[in-house]
Amino acid sequence: MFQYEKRLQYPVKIKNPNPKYASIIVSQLGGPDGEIGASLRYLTQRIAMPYDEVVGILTDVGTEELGHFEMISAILYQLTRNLSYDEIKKSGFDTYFVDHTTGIYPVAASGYPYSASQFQSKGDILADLNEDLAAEQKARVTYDNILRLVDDPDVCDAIKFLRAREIVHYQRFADALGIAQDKMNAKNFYGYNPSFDKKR
Amino acid sequence: MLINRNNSKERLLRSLDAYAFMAHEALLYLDAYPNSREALECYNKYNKQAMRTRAEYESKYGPLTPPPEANSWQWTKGPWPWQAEKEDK
Repeated sequence: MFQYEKRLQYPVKIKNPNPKYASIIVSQLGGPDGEIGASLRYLTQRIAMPYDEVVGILTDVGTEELGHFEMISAILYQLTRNLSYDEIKKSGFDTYFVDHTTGIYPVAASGYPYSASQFQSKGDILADLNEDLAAEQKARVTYDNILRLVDDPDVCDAIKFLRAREIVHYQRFADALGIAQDKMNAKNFYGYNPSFDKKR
Repeated sequence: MLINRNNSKERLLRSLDAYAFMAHEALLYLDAYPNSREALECYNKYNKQAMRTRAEYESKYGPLTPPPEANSWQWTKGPWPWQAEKEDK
């Protein structure tokens, strides 16, 4: 089960609201490489994973991603405080505002709502772990792009923390893939998982 | 991250963030390398400091997780972690 701890993994304190930045950063909430998709990916994949160490990595990384979902939510909340209707219209935040006001809702920056079709849980060790490695790199690129578009030190500070976490998670999933391959049949040099094809 | 040095509540919470982060980083590493003595020592060291700091924070400023027992109900009292503007008041 899960228990909530009443603090962010890394502090978010943004002095200046900026609805334009919010409409970009919302992609890391509900976009294709966002934090809610990341946590759902790992926390679903771990259930069918046969190796204890890999279950551990998926559990602990997936749990951390829930904390990142909360950090992105905090960034969005603080970027959209005390806005005037004029600011909302000029910044382009109006297309989000009309549906959600300043509530936190998982959509991509394009406006496409969060969809589970953006991740996989394939029930296959190699397919799942390779997806996880790619997912961490894709999220890292999204944070790089956010840092290219945003120029407020309060926002960039939290985004840089999240970006660094993608890199660490990538390392741990590389370890997980190594562990899984060591445990699979040593003659399995084609790197696939034949367990379902064995005659029972 | 700019820390308001005059705010002892914020300072204590930032220490907890740092210790808990180090423990978490060691945890992820230990998942992959359970035989690493170095990582285990790092985990034990920082987790102990995190637990001590968490206890100090909770005794001064209220619970971070729903408390095992309480004389009065402080759990829902803000600011919640995303409400930085209330933290400053």
